[in-house]
Amino acid sequence: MINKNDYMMDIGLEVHIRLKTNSKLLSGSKNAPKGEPNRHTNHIDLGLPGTLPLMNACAVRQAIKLGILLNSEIAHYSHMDRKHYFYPDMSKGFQTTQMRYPILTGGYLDIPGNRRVSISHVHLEEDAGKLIHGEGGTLIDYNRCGVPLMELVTTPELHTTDEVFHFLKTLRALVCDHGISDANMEQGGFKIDVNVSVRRKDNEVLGQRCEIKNLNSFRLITRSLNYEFERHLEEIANNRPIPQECLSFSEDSGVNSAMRAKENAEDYRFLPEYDIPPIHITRELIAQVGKDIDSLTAMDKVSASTSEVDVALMKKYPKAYTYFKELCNHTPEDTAFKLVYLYLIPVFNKMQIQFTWELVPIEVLLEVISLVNSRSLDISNVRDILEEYVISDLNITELLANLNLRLCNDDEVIISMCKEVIAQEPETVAAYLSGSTKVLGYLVGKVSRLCATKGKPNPKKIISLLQRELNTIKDHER
Amino acid sequence: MSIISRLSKSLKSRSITYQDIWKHYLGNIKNYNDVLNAVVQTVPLAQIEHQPNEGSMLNGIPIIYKDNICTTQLRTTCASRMLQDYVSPFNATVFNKLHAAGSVMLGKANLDEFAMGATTSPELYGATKNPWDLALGTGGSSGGSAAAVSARFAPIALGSDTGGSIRLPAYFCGVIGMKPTYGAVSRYGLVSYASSLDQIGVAGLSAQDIAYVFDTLGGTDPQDPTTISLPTNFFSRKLVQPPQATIGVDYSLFSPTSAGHHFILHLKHAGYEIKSITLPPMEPAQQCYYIVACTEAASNLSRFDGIRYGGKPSQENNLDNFYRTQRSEGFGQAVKTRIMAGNFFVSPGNYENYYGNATRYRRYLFDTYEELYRTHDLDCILMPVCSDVDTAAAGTRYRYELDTYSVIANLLGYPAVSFPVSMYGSRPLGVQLMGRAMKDDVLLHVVNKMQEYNDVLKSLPPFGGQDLI
Repeated sequence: MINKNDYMMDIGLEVHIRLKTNSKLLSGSKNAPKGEPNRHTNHIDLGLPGTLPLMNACAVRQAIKLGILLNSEIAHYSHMDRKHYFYPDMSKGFQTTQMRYPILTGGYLDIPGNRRVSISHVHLEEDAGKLIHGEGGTLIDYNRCGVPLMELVTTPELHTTDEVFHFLKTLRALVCDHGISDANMEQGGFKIDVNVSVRRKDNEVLGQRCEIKNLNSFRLITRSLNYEFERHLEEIANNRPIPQECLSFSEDSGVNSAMRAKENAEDYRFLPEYDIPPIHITRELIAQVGKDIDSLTAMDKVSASTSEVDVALMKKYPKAYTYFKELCNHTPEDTAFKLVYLYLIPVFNKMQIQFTWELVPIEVLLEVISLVNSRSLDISNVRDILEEYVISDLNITELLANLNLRLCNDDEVIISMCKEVIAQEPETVAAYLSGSTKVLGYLVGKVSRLCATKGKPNPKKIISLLQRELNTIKDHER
Repeated sequence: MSIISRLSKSLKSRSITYQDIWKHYLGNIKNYNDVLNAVVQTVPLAQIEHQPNEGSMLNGIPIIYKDNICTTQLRTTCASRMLQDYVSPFNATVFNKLHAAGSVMLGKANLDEFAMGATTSPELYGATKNPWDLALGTGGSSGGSAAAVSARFAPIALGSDTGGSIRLPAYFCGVIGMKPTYGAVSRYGLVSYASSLDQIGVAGLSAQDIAYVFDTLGGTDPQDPTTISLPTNFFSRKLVQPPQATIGVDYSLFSPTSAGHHFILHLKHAGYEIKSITLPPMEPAQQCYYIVACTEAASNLSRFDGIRYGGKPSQENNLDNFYRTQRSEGFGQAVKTRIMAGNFFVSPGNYENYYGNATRYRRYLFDTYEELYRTHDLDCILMPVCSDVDTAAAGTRYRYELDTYSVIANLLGYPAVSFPVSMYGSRPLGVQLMGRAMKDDVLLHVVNKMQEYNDVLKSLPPFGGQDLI
């Protein structure tokens, strides 16, 4: 019997990532694999005689984006190849992919556990259609045919199912966060093939490699890998050779079994795709794509000093990020963050318009900040004043004047309101007096609502006056 | 002289009508197509689709399209059983451009199956006959197009040229056939044979006609990313300028009695500068061509599986058997040979030896020719269209060496034109001019000049109609 602990797995991953684009890789049809069957197909997708492919520039940009994020080498020259095989879901008799000159080579992804996983290469390719087997025969849906994919290949340097899990989770989050893919596993937007071999830990030579195809959930990958590890150990223990083959995992039996022998011996007769000119990626284009994600990656850097919620907000509104950064040059980061993401953005959201720098210049926000600092403007009114600023032609000083006019600043009125509320809420008041200070907010709210009928109240004033009234009662009771 | 401008002038002066033109050419087809078998589908007079465009020279001009160019009005069969009943749901870009210019389609021309061959004798339609001598062939693969122009079925016919497919039949049928610079004309809607070699070609009776048609066809097409942008009137801009060009000649390629040899004197006399050069050997280029063409053909023809279109209805349940039946019955022998050879050239263990070497040789050949043009400051090179042996056989039988001289232009993406220069017994013989990329205008200029000198094209073949005017 052999000791399991003496052995380890070497695992490499091939991840098929469906790209988020409007149209397909080589035609103007909509990238919508889920639509009514064959609705999103055109002459090119169906491979009609005389049609020529048209490369989707957006898919190339998405690949560049991933290349920047993975620190890969982005090929200044790459081209498409044809991979030949006959299958009814492949309308041209070949798949358009990249074999000799992939768009990205090298790079790495850092995963939890302080591990850095090397990327071998990433290439662009098109998806195939789908066969629907029914009683009356087999039907073909070409909606998915030509949908853009990226295939990411890692070096075989993962060793445990946990590492595989962390790698895939990190990669998936990365492509989702940057709008490269929806990476929806149930819908086939993030498909994984696994290469695995087993060797003695003290042996430097990798064992015989097997490939497990189409694993579409993290759970299946773990189960399939665990099974494969045991299977290899058993073969090794019995001194039986392990054939290099393609396997598929059956969820029901929990077993990996070899696919048809033919699929293992496929000869794809790769050939350069001459109908598509080579893809030349200039430094300018990389810089341009880099700008799109600069703000997003920069956010990851500030995440050290900010909470997770803050980072999420920044990522959600990347356009406001440069604005935020600019503001940081004039005011402390936490004030800037609060003002931009908690006050300014909600104003735009409420009016359902996109955030634009021009509508609220930096100077305006700086003016607002100085007003708040000098206590001329209460922070609770910032949102209102910004909203009015966006709508009206008035400047901040004029808006503040209007606001103050409407403020209910008459102490007498507020005191009478406070008294009214105290009379209405004897139990809450009793609770406050017995030391439960958190009920104060409730009482303040009630007073504000009463005051609102007379004009806009200043919450600070309400609090101070209400506290004064309550303290009077306290003193009386003594 | 330009037939298109004659017809155009007469239409404008109202001395003839569109109907007169169309009736005349349809009449020629009716009278002679039975013996020539140049056209395989015809548009009846009542069904001619005309979108008048008064501003265009091509308004009302009849055109015949090779049957591997997609059209919605007639079937696009590629002379193959595979596409026997296939009607394209879209028109080729070249068709759309010519249609918008006001020209009309009269019919579709015979070809070797999927343009593979040099005899125009597909199993589906049978051979096209030479209007000069019915015992002779037309060459191919655009034999139908060249014969149709020669027999006056239309002043212009469109073909395709992968290794000489427009130039060889133009040579045998005594007309002008030109393949432009790779990328000058959109291939969208041309059923692909070998993507890196294919170009749309034009057969006509004058350099001017061909220039006018190419001016309409040329330039970028958003649907074909391999197209290049061209200056306006690129093809016709040098037609009438005084003779000024340097032409390279490898004298070893012309026997002293050949048509080409005499033509060199004519060129000198007309004022062109002739420089003696030595061309690289033709044989390796020929081999290189066959490897590239067959390999790309095998790939391009993989889409014909009988599933979405074409093929025959079948109850076959086994997928492999389905493919086998559809493809063995759908393709003819010439096509199958190329598919099998092509797959062999890239099969495991063979790729580097065959396809890899061919690709490298192609690059080397390009560098060699560029160097040749540069060091001798040449505008174009004069070459035979095919060997004397093949000239005598006139494309009746297929020989591997038939396209020895014509494949170079395709391998290198150069423009090339073949045109008749003298009569050989009862039929015209011609030569070929091959320019560097983007020298199309110079080629047409030389052909136009030499046509003024001695217009062989005025002679009519015995089996064919007359010009209308």
